[in-house]
This record gives sequence, structure tokens and C-alpha cells, in this order.
Amino acid sequence: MASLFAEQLLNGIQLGILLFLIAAGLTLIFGVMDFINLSHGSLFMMGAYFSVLFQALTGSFFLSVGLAAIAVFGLGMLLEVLLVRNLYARSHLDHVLVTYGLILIANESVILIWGSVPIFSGVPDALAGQIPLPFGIDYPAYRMLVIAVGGLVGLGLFLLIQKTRVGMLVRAGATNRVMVSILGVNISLLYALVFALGALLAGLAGAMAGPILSVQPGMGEAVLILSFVVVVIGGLGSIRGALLAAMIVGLIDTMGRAFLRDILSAFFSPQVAGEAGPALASMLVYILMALILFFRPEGLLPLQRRH
Amino acid sequence: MVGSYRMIEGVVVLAAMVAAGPVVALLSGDVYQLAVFERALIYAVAAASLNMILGFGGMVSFGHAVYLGIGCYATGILANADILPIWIQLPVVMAASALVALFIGLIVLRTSGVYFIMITLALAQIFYYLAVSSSYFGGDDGMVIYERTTLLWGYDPFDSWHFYFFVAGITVLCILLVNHLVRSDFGRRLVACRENPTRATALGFNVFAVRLVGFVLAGVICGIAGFLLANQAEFATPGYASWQRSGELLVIVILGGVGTRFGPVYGAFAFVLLESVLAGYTTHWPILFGPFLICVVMFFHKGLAGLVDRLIPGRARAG
Repeated sequence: MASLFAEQLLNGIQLGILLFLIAAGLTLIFGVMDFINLSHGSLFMMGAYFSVLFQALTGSFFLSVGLAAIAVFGLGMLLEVLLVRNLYARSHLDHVLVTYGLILIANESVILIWGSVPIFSGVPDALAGQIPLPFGIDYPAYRMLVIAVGGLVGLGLFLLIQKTRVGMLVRAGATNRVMVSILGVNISLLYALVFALGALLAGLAGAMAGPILSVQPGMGEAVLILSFVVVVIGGLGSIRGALLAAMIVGLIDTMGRAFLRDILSAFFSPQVAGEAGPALASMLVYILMALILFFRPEGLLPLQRRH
Repeated sequence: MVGSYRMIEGVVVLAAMVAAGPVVALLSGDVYQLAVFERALIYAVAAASLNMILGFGGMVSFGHAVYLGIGCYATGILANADILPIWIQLPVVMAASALVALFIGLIVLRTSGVYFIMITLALAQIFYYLAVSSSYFGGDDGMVIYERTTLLWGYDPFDSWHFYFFVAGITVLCILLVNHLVRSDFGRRLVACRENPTRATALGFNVFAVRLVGFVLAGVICGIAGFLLANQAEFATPGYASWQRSGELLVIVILGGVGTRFGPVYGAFAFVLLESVLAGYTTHWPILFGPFLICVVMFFHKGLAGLVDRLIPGRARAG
């Protein structure tokens, strides 16, 4: 039981890290540019598909993940320059609709190119095994790697935002965009870079999630909704909030799916528990979100924004 | 002058809306074409209710399809329990949607802006997963509805023509109701609360209450659309309450023109007809619809209703 619990704990952290990578991009783009990007999940999906493509071309898993992330960075840049930058001045509603249109295009393009059947992208041989951890737990090496890479990328993002000049401008832009542009910063380049960076994070998450989830059209949407939950719980625009919320959501979701049924069966008949357990488990995250927003409508760690 | 134009537009729109299905069905000699137009009518009701809170109340609900789902399942449960008269089904559907809308409204109306968009989505997801995981309602597979709603003696719910006019009749009533609501004092108050909540409060309106009433009314009307959808499809599936469906409703409202009186009707017909025409050319129709949608948002500010206004001389500036 203890080892099962520990394993699910790690699974929760691993899901949390993937969610963080996606949510960080979403919240960064929203915090800096006030743009709602529904197609962020599609960038995640493109990351997964590009990784499959590059794996077939290069034969190397690690190379393909890197290439996929770079490709999605390019895609994000292209998207920003061609479409998104015309929308910053528009209402959130317009953002939602245009990016909804992009989701349709992305999903159909993927179906046209790769077909609608899920593709199973295998774990590389070197990582197929289990890693022994303390307390007699064996944990899949690949998932361990995802935790490690995600953690490192998260740390890198934190350093980039807190310690570099670009990061300073991003933070400044999130707090007071008008002031930043008055100071003579090339705001359109900054915006394009931030958008593409967000895309890169989503693409990286997608490429790494390939072997864990099945690669299929529409795979971005489930993740997108969860990431929005993360972003909103954490406080829009707040990277630290996204990290905290991603971990909470990852853990609650995983733990709920693993243990809720057993917990319920302690109180109710097996039939009731068997029926209500899985239902409640999939709703848990949304119930949590509703509760948090009811008491803290701005999220857990909201940005201090001045206009 | 403007008022009479609006009257004429209303009559023309409603008449065209009802006549479109039969005309196409008779011209093509294919009675199943009626089903396409039934779908358009049902979407028009759902979109009109969303437009009421979105266009006039400024509330961007990203979970509006949940009421389609509630209406659908309520109808399905009653029908499969052999309770078929509309006099029972419709009130139950309306009460169920009202309750759910009240529950959701009490939570979401504490927030605004993007938080509002996201929390409506989250609460709708709760109901979606409820439907997906409940084996009693057929879970993921949905629930087949074997009997359509009965109305009066002589009305045969499985006769295509009878059923079409049943749907069209209820649709017209709902559209007229929404139109009446947005033009009433209540509609003005809704707009006032959108434009300037502080001033509306100062004028003595209870902003929260006005919004809540609007939210619940919209939920009830969308529930009626769900009731029609259940009868039309003879099927209830969690998909009707999914976030993609809510997205479609938003698309329809924007496509038609946010905050215009007949925008949702134009939007619903354009959406359903485009879908069915494009789907006739290629199964990959979304790849054509996506760019179309983007173009509409980028280039037509008031959607199709704005386009109609431009075509009628002297209308462009009118309210």
C-alpha cells in the first residue's frame, strides 16, 4: 500500500510537471499580452506529432524531442507574426474564437497527414526499465526522466524570468505594458518571443508526453482544459501560481483516480463506490477549482497588476 | 423608421426561418432535408439564449452547452419512463435547467472577465463528467430515446412534417420571448449592468440579482433547446454538454453578430448549413470552417447581422 501510494505520488508530480510546462506558457502569454490562447493545446499536440515524425527521420528519441520543441517554437513565432499580433487590441472573445478556429485547423491537418488512428510513440529502449528508489519502490525510468527534465526546464524558466534582462522586460510588461513600450522596448519582438517561448514549452511537454499518452488528434484539448484550470487556480499571469496549482491539480487528479474508490467503499456499498468513485475522481479537479475561485476569485497567487 | 425596419426584419427572418426547411425539402424531394433545418432551428434557440447574456449582459459563458445536456437528459429520462406529454416534459426540463443555472450562476457571478469564462467552463465540465461516468444514463455511449414527446391528438411525432412544425413552432416562440426580454425593462437593466455596474448600483439596481435572473432565464431557454434536440436526435449523449459544443454556441453567436437581435438566427443557419454543405464535399470540413471563422472574426465586427445591416440602406448607424 505504501509503495503504491508513493508511486501514485510520483505519477501525480509527473502529471503536475507536464501541466506546469503547458500552463506556464499559457499564463505567460496571458500575463504579458493579455491574450487567451485556446490553441495552446494544439501546440502541445504538434509537439507530440513532430516528435513522432523526427523520431522516424533521425532514429533518436532525444534528438527528436529537442527538434520537436524547436519546430513548435518556429510554429509559434509564425502564428504570432501572421495572426495573433493583430488580435492583442481585440476583446477576449475574439481571441477565444480565432484560436478555436486554429484548433479546428490543427486537428484536421493532423488527421489529413497522420490519420485519425492514435499513434503509439514508444519509450526509448534505454529508458524502458524501472529505477529502484528508496523504500522498495520501483518507478519507470522514463517517467522519472520527465520529472527531471520538466523540473530543470521549470528552473530555467524561473531563472530566465527572474534574473535576465528579457525576463525583466517580461515581468515589466506583465505589470505595466504601456510603461514598457514608452521606455522604447521593441515590444512586438518581445511579444513574439514570449509567444514562441510559450509554444516551445507546450511543444516540449507534448513531445515528452508522447510515450505516456497516445498521440492522437484532439489530444491537446483535454490537456488544455486542465491547464486552464491550473492557470486560473494559480492566478492568471502568475508563473509561481501556475507551478503551485499544477502540482495541486496533478496530485489531486492522480490520487483521486487511484484511491477515491477505495475511500468511498469504506463508507458506502461497493456498487455505490464503484459508480461514484470514478465519476467523482474526474470531477475532483473542477470541484476544487470552483471552491478555490469561490473563496479566492483571483486565484491562489495572483499577479499584482497596475494599469 | 428604424423601428418599422426592425419589425419588418423580424417578420421576414422568422418567416424565412420557418419556411426554409419545407422549401428545400420540397424542391429536393428529400424529406430528410428537414432534419438539417431542425438542427439549425434548435441551435438558433440555444444561441439566442447565449446571446441574451453574452451580447446584452456581457457574460461570456463558456459552458452554455451544459443546459443543452440537461434538457436532453431530462427529456430522455422522462421519455424512457413513458412520460411523454409535453405538458409534463417541458416544465420538468425548464425546472431542471433553472436549478442548474441557479447553482452555476450563484458561483460564477462572483467572478468576472477571464475568470468568468473559465469557471463557467469548469462547472459545465462537472456536469459533463457526471453524464460520462454515470452508467444509469448510458455513460460514454449516451442514452437512446425511444419515444418522442406527444402534443395533441392528431399530432404524430414521428411524421417528418408534423415534427418539423413542432420544432419550428417552439423555436419561434423562444426567439420571440428572447427578443421581448432584451427589449423589456429587464433587458435595459441587463445592458446597464454590463455598461457600468457601479452606476447601475447607484441607480438602485441589484446588479447581482439582475445578472442572476438573466443567467437563469438563458439557462432555461437553452434547456428548451436541449428538449428539442433530444426529440430530434432521439438520443442523449454527454457530447451535447461538452466544452466543444459550448465553443460552437459561442462561434454561432459571434458569427451571427454579438448583441444583435437576430444575429443568433443568422449564425445558427450559417453554421449548420455550412457544416452540412462542407461536410458534403469533404469529411475534413473543419479545415475549411476554421479559416472561415478566423476571417469572420478578423473582418466582420458585427458578424452576419452587421452584414445584413450594411445591405439595407440607412441601417448601418441605427441601433
